[in-house]
Amino acid sequence: MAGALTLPVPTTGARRSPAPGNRRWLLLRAGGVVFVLWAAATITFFALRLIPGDPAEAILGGPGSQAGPEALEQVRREYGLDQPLLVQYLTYLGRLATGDLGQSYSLHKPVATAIGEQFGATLALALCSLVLAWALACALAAWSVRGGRVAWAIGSGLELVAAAVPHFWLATVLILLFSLTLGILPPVSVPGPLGIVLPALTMAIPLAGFLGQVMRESLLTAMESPFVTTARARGESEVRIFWRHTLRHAAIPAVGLSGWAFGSLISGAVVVESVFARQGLGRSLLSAVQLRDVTLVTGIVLVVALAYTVMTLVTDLADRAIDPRGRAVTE
Amino acid sequence: MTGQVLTERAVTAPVLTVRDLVVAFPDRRGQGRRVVDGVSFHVAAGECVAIVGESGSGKSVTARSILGLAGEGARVSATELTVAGQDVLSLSGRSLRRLRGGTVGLIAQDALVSLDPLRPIGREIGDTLALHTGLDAAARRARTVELLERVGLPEADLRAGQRPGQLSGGQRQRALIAAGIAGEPELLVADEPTTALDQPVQAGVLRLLGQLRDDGTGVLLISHDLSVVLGIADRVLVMTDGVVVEEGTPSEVFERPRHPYTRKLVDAVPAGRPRGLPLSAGAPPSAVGPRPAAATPTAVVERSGGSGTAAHEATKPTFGEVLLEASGLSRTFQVGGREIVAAHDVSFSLRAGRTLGLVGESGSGKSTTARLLLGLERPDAGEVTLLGEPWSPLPETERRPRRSLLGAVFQDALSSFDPRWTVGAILADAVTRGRSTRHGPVRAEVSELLDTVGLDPALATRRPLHLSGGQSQRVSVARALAADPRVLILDEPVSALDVSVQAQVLDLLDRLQRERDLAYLLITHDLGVAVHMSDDIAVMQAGRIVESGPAASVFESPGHPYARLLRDAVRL
Repeated sequence: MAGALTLPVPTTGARRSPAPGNRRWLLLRAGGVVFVLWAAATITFFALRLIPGDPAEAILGGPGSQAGPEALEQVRREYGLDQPLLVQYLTYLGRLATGDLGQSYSLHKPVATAIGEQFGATLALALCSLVLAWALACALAAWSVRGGRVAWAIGSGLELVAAAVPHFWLATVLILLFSLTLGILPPVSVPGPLGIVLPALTMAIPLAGFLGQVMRESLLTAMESPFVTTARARGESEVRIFWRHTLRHAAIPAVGLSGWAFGSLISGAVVVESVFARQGLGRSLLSAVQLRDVTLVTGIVLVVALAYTVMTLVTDLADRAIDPRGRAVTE
Repeated sequence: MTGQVLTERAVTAPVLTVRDLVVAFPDRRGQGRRVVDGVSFHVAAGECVAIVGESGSGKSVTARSILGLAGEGARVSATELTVAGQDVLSLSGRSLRRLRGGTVGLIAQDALVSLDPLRPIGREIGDTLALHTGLDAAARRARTVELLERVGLPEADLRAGQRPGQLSGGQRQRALIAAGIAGEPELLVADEPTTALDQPVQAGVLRLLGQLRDDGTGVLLISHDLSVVLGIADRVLVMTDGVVVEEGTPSEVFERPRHPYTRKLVDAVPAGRPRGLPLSAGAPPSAVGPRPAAATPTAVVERSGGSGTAAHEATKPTFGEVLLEASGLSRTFQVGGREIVAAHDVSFSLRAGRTLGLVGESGSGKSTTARLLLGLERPDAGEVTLLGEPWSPLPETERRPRRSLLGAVFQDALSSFDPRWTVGAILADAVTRGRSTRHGPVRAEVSELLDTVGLDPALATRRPLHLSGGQSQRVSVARALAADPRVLILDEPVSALDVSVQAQVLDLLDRLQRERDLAYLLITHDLGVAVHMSDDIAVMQAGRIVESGPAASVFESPGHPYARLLRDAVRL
């Protein structure tokens, strides 16, 4: 990637030049987004063509539909399936470029409309989980830094367990605990803020464990850095040192991974939305795959890829805000 | 000199009084290990007291105990430990935090890491102001700029918005001092405040500390380097193994050291010591005595003829013969659209048995020159000849068979070793020229190498992290010698070492050069080291050699203003 370049740095006392202009950087990254989207579209297009079976048959309801040859022929013509593969591909790219995601076979409405109905719910879930995961990870880090050696050991143990638990198991445990035993939260998703708590928690806990593990190593380094001594020597309290200095240094690698984490949240949504009977892209994707609704699958994959690249861009911006030292010139 | 003034100062109430300070760290057996053992001294307002000692002497722990920052698990006790009338040991929590920064300011070693590298320096100074003054945000900003101006930072308002990494070493050290004095403390504790700096910059920072002292602040200066404290301290304490062994004015301590340890420290300072004179007390007598001058090659030929095996003799160069020649080397780097000239038209030659000292401040292109010679970097222009044959810019595959002619020793020996390898493996790798790291088959050679650099062959089973600084640097010299090179590139070989260890390593290098007629390129920012070790000196600035010639004449009568600046910095 453009950001990972390591230039040969002469041992110079001269001031390092500022990182390349923000505008150029943004342009480069935007180009990257377009490239990722094109790659995602191309891979899904050809991957779905590789699945054995006749797509025309799938459109008419799968191998069990007993469709006659004329019906198949008509569908092929209608969807352009009789054209050579390259022509199909170019037509497909052309439609995508104009924002036309096609028609869903199973829902009988435009894919864009179908996704639009579901996207908000999944985005809200993923963002809630991400925020919650960060809050949990930071709280645990703060506690284990202040609590001495025992708290440190407990903290890292908790993180290990949290990072390892699978979503479906955690979801069941949380439902048992909060809904069936305590009765304070609904077991299935209901509209409104209460309904999002358990699904978000289910996805946030493993992610918090993961983020915490990433942070812990750099937390140790940061805690022993000389600037912490300087901060103590000017009379700063331990709490302020943690939030102002240590955590910021420790967060750098975890922030960098948050883009990836967001992607994993969306795939986690496939399971979690099903368990909590919550509407969203994950569930739509699951049923679209089961029904072999090719256009809907493609559409969802593209939207997820778009969300993922945008999120990566956002985390990169956050990374630059937290760590303003030019990435290109390392110390 | 100022005995009268000193007594007068001592009469005024001291800012800091330390009596019978003991700091112990519990070890595994539960037995406290005393790193500071009964230290007593005091610092008056407007006085600068220096504590000098090597790493592990307990000087830093002493300094940090004054702020209640001796370290985790430290047990601190004292008959008296008072700063401006406050008993530090009885303070806790909020009142201790008010003392830190408000009554005592700490200036640590390297501002690049001692100031938060992610935050602008102005914010760090502003934090101290927020903690210890009642100023509002706007007043804090104005005061920050004032403070930066006070410590002599040009364009202070611009600098306040920059991070430590964007400033030069001297600039950010000044910023660190500004942060230290922002709370208007009565006592400044400066713990190795100039160690990472070039000599001219170091002199500037010391002058600034001197001004603060003159303005009435008590200064406690901690340093491993006797010569640093000479010009500024009113009194010097020499510490070793947690105990103060000598106390006096700088001239007393430096010119008439009473304690053997102080004498060792003073002797180890290379500045002003003639070439060839051993710096460390334990050096073998064979190394003593004047070196053969370059002008008498006959004597030298005789000398080399009388030693070594016949096989060795055939390859042995004549003393003074040119082994490596650099001509017109240039290298420019592009960093963020800017051009940095790291080397421009650099020419010199390295001769058998002779040392060329390459001096200059950091960023002047010394290390780039070393990398060009070693073929780690391609020159944009110019070439390097090794033993009369072209060397750089040859392709690496053609260069590799002759790589063994050229050895290198770097500043940070430890990070140049694979931490998972034993010393035996590191040397076996070098002896077999990278074919094997198995120690067994080459045990004899490895033992001989370790013996050559004055190390116990039993060290071969250790890993680098378990070596002391001096031991690592000796291993790194042994590794450089393993392939029997003719030329050694020494890039700041002693800069990271304590002065007595530095003396031993310099003596070792000197002895090896005599025995093997090695050609040295000694890169250093320390002119004292350069003059002691070199026959010739080249001064580099901004990628160019601005002055060169015999060591004595460059040092005694420098022509170029920059060379003069360097020399004055050494003399202080």
